[in-house]
Amino acid sequence: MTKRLFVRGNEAICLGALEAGCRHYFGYPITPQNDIPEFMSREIPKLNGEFIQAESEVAAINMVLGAAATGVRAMTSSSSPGISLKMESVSYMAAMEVPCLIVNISRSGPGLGGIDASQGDYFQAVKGGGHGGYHIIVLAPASIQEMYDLTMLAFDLAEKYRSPAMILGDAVVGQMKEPLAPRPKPDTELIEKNWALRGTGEGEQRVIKSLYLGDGELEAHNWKLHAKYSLMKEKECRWEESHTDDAKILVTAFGSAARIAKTAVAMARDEGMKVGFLRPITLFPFPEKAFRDATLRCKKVLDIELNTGQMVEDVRLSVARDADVFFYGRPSGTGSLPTPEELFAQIKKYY
Amino acid sequence: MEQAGTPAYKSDRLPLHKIDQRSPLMRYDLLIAGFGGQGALLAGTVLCYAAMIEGKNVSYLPSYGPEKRGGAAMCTVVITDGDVGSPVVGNPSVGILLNQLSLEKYGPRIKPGGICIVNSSLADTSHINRTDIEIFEMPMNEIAMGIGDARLVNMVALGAYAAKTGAVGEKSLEMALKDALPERNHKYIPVNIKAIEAGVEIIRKALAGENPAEADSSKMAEKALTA
Repeated sequence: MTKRLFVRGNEAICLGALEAGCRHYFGYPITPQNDIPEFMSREIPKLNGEFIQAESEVAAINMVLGAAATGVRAMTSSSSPGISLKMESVSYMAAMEVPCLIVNISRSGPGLGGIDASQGDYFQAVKGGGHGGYHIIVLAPASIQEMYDLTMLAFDLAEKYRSPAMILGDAVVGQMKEPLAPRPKPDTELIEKNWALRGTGEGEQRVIKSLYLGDGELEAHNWKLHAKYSLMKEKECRWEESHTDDAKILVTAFGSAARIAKTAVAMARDEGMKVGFLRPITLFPFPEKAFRDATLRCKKVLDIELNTGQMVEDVRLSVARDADVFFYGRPSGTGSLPTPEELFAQIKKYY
Repeated sequence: MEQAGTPAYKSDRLPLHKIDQRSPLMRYDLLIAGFGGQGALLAGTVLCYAAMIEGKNVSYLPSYGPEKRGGAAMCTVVITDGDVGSPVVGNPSVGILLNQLSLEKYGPRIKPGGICIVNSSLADTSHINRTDIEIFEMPMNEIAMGIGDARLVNMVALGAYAAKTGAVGEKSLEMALKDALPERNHKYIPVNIKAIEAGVEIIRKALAGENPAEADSSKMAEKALTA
């Protein structure tokens, strides 16, 4: 076994991105993700890549667009207010089908909010975030190992589906440290990028654009994007589950909240309560079938989030018709992170 | 990576959340708090490296806010043979509390039956009315000064923690310093080891019947050093 590293989540993302072959990083500083540009500014130049601290978030994401359009693996990272600024270009990239990685180590909002862990950006992440009606791939790591693994997966999925992909984390998974086994990049089939811009020269002209003015052109493009999202839903859902077979109530949460919830589930199990656990890893595509299958048997679901209720809407749309979905959440701010004991009390309440 | 369309992890193994004497699997959780500069966060980091040397799983969650030097600093650490589960610990089984503010804020949160290791140089436990926890007081500042530097308070505390709980071996802690400290600070490792040993020694003596709270602090430091 290779020696385990002991790193912050933000650093694990960088290690994963570099292992995945990303050599182009563009960003603008914001707490609590500054470890990412710090790490990249130190390491990328050694690998003959390009690190640019841009003049703004908007500039950074458009640099990602430009770099990624040439077929290289490019990324940016920011936190909630900065991600909002980037959304115009994310919409463009979804339309242009440019693959890239966007990391959101989200903080509390709305507005400038605070710098504490929050899951208030769920809607923005999974419903598109920008204008025009689109989706991007959204992965929600819950451990330092996953920060690394899912970053590599995000690049692969982005290229496979020609779509931006997002890692949605928060200050807990970004700042906490855990052991990391830096596995080598999975041996995925590389897809030939026959769309990538490569300058003038031999060969056919390639165009990457989001403006479609011809009669019927844009509608056809939207149906094409839609078909892609349907394919993702069919093929790419990932989740974690335990004790779902005999559960009387199913606890669900994503990211850092899922870590706290899982210990609460363990506390309940120790008292003989039949509690199951289901954690979506892909937030888009949302693991609808996993919820449907589990709620064919178990008719109560308790959704826990660090907000006032966002993923719970997707849970309600996914469960069997006769299942009840309850919600417990804490909107973020200093001192508002729930404890396992607090979540255990909620499990008892709805059990 | 996992197959898409199926659970990435389907396992009925849940995180350990309490120490079960019947189980060979162990779990320790700890909260370390003080003011910025006392080394609460470094203590947590060294402890994690030590546990990793022993092949354990760990998590280290620093308090993360608009912190500043002299302000509050806190971290929670979980060490386990199994899944870590929550890195957030509501009621820690052990608290290392390095100043008065931390004692007041986190003392009441320690789990009944738990342990509180207090730096009596800067914190007064007389108004902590808890008979359901074990309180170990030691004048860590004086002990650290006795070794040569007040900044060794965190290592004294770590030594005491390891000796009291057995969460990690003393030798692992000493080895962990190499992993936790940047190369340029490796010259300070011997003095840090001394501080860890002093902490260990005090707990050993306390467990043998001498109460560190009643002992004269400078003598304590001296004893710890010559031990």
